[in-house]
Amino acid sequence: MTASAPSIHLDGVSKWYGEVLGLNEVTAAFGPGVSGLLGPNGAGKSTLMKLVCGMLKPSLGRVLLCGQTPFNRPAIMARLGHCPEADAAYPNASAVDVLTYLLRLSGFTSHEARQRANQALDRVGLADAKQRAVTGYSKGMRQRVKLAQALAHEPDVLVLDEPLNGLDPPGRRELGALIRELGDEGRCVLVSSHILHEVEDLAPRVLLLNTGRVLAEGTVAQIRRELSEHPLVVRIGTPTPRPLAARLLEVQGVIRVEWIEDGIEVLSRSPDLLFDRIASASEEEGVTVSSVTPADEDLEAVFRYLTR
Amino acid sequence: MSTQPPISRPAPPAARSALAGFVPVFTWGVARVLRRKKLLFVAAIVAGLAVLLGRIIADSTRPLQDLAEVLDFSILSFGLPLIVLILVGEGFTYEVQARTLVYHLVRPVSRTTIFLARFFSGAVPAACVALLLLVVLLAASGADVEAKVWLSLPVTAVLGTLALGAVYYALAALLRHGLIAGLIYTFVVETLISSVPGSMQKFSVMFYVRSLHHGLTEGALPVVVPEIEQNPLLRAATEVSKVGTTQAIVTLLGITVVALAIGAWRVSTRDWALKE
Repeated sequence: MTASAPSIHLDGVSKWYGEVLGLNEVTAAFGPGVSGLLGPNGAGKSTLMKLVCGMLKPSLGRVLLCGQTPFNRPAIMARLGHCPEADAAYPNASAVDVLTYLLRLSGFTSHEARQRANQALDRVGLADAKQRAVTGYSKGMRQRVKLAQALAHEPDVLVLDEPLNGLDPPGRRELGALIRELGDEGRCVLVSSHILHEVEDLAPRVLLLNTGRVLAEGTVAQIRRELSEHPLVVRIGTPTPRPLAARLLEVQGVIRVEWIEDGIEVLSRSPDLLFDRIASASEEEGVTVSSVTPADEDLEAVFRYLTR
Repeated sequence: MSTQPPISRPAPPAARSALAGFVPVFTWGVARVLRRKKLLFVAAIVAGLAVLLGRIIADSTRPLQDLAEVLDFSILSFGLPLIVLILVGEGFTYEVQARTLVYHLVRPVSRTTIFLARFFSGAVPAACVALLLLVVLLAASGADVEAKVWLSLPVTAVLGTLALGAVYYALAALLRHGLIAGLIYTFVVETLISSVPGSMQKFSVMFYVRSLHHGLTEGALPVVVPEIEQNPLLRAATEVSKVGTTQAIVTLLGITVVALAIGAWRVSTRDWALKE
């Protein structure tokens, strides 16, 4: 018997939690390589992942993991590795003991399980700390343990829910490289995040979710193009806003300038041009600029644009 | 959304038996229970109380009657349910509340197996502590009892622990706050209802545990102490507390099987969102 290719399919999937809609008619397919799941908190990312991992049963539609429905199907779980978002640890148990136990659940003998546990912990950079109790670990180290248990049995489908949360920048780079490596090996890797640039670094293709619905799907460049058609709000902190506002209104793409406390808020269709002109305009007018902040750089603002 | 060629990978492991994974979950659960201070703490308190009660009985003028009374109205009505609640009832609830259950749900092990293995990993140490309570009490009382009283202790401890523990596990699977529900159940059903004169007490697990204890120790321990004999209410209560030994064993095993089946069914069919 040949194993089917690593894949995830969702066909018109909806999920209600009582009267709350967690996921709304989502249709998507993920194959080998890294795919990103992007959305603000409450977008439905974790719900989608739990459906894929068989922890939740879809209210409507069909979820397939390597061609099989995953809910309460233990056999298919041998091909799945899941890094949950929730921080879950056994008190006073070392990382290597926890991983050995979980690998034994995956069907490995005690000896093989311990060997693989050690290898996986080495791979995520916990070689020196693996004998210590997980409850004494930092948040970043616990993230590494979660990732190690997800990949220790070498599954060909990996569902990683916010795997880089709580890691410092070097840790993010290191584990980001590991996730890309897993995708390059031909595994189907689904990674969620609410940080746009993080997903951009990891996944060539992205599924954008908001309030349980798919907003966009494609490469990050494609989504960025879609976003670029929407105006961006930039907040400029200055004690003398009037002369600066007058100059910025002349910049191509600027739609509106509004007075706010401690400065102005500029709405522009050409943010790059606006950023260029802020420095020169302030210099020419002799205006002090204390801050320049895209007011809606966060993803929720991006989604507001998309959902208008 | 495919960007890479599929990985060349060995075929997935052959289908495993329905109970595959039982041994790792069971041994891990027992190891976790043994490693926690709670077991030691409960065992120490239980042993201490048993010694204290035993010495009081030893000093009384009617040790056998006092022993029967303490066993009936204190140990089997109150002590055993509490031990089981503390050591067994919390097991599955812990996995849910600590969200460690998530690691089990994504392994090639059936949910029923996880549920059952986790139950037995708590029930075995709990039965040992319950047995410790009974043995220490009997030893400390210095009562001169027949061998069948000693032999009745492991049967009573094991069957009582299994039946009560299964009820607690079913509550944990059915309800969000299983441990609180278990506590309420203990006081309402196993303590109050099981002491109410009349047939109501047949709804409690401890009624059958007491019946089993009475059956196994028949003739060796006085079933009705003089005060009870003189009190019509207490006499009625004691008289109802009798079903045959076989019926008690069958009922306790039946409760265990049915409660575990209900719990396993619920665990297998429900969603596990395990949110923060």
